Amino acid sequence: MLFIKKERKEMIEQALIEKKTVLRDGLVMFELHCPNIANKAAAGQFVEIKCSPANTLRRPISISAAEDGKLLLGIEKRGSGTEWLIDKEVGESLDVLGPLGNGFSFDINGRALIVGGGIGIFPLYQTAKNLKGNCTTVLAFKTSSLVVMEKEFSACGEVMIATDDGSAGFHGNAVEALLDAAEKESFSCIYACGPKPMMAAVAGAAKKLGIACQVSLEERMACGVGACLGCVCATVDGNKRVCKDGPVFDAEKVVW
Amino acid sequence: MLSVKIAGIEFKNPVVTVSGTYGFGREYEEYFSPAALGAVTVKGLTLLPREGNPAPRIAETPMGMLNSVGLQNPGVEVFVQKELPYLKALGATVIANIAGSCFDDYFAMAERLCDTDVDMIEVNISCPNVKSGGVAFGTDPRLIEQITAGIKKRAKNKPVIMKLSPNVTDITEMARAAESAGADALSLINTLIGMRIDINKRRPILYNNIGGLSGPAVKPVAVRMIYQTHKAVSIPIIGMGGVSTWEDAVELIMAGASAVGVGTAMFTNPTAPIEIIDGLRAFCKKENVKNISELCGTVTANG
Repeated sequence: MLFIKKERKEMIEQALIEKKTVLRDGLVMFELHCPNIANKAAAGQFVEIKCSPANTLRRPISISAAEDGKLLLGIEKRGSGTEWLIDKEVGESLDVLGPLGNGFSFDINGRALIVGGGIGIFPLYQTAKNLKGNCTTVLAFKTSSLVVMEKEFSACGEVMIATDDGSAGFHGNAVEALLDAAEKESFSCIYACGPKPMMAAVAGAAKKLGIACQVSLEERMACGVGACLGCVCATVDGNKRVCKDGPVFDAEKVVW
Repeated sequence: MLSVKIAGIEFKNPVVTVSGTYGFGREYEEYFSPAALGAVTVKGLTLLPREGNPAPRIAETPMGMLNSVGLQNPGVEVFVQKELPYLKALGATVIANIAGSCFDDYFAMAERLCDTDVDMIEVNISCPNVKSGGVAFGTDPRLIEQITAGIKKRAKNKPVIMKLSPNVTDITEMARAAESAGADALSLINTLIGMRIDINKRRPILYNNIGGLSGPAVKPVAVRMIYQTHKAVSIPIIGMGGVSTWEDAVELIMAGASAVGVGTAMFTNPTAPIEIIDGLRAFCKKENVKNISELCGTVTANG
């Protein structure tokens, strides 16, 4: 009567926190032992994590990396759910649902430019690893005290740090850094994630430069699996579910 | 032990999905078969496809959540051609939920559905997210009578469930209006109307400003309204509102529900409906209850 599909694409797993790194106040990195989900996960996908019993909804967290049965997650404190999450310690377990979403596409010929703004860099890490040696990454932050993950991304290729106030690296925002990088090198694809206005600007620049561009969006969500239609974004083909049809979209299709 | 009969339709157990939380079953098939439940209530259908409201459509609230999806759906025709055959092929008992902004919409959909394989038709007169029609129907007993009678006339032999809005002063007045006009069953409650404000932006979080409140926070309202309605009418009630566990389901059944809907709970726990079915079975065994329907309306008031 009850059946669970034999070939499951998503599942719930109790994931043990094996490593916790506090990157800065309110921003932590967890390494979870989560083999069932990690072995099915692709770059750009995410998980939905159960928080405190007081939270009605899970919280969607991008998968930074999925390798050797481990999930790497970067979590920023935004509200009550993430506040509870970043408080968890090594040895505790998290109830994780995933992997969810469509992931990035790697059907490209040539070099890739990865553009991450603020905590938007986390969904891009596995992509940088996948494209190791064949990518340049722009990591854009407001100011130098917010810079994180420079070492990790540098192991995957060229890294260009950009800060709005010029306190580190390139003095400018993500799009200005993108244009600077695109002047020096030819790219066949852009992968971007960050605040929505930043991604809209990246989409515009990509269109002008004639470079294919994939963006990873986010939206408040409820079910996380595509059933409730809570998390739609407007595209030229109508409303699409960020949790199921996305979170990765062709930048040209998004109605910004 | 768990099989029940609602308005002539056999449900293998009293647990159903709630409209709007389950799509047309495809996503949750990863977790359980639609045929495992007593029935599945699909997303609210409108005559023509609807895009719904812009995001944000979701906001968490204390022990609950708000939604202002706005009835996004592919329209009744796509449901009939594409979604219904898929559900029927899996052996599901299907409740089609219909919503409209005018009488003619409802009547046209009843006519369309009466010759299909849907097992029952649930009528949404209480969705608070539609700019015209939704709220007005469900808060006026005369409109409830007219719409119920009109749909019954066109639904032929398909049982008609009127889904009541809790955003009223007297739920029993609405229930009696639906019953008097021929409703075969009632479902309640739909969502309450709520709001959340982002204090930094000084704007409501939902694009639509207001939305429907669901989740554990509304369960006491659901229990109370089911209790009052059960005493006021004789037709069966499908109860819903904040049910997360089998204990919650028993509460609604003792208040007067013949079947129980599970909605918001699935978002944190995709297998909640299955766990609730198992819990009900265990409870019946423990209490020596031969059939779950024996528990319907068995609460005894104090004083």
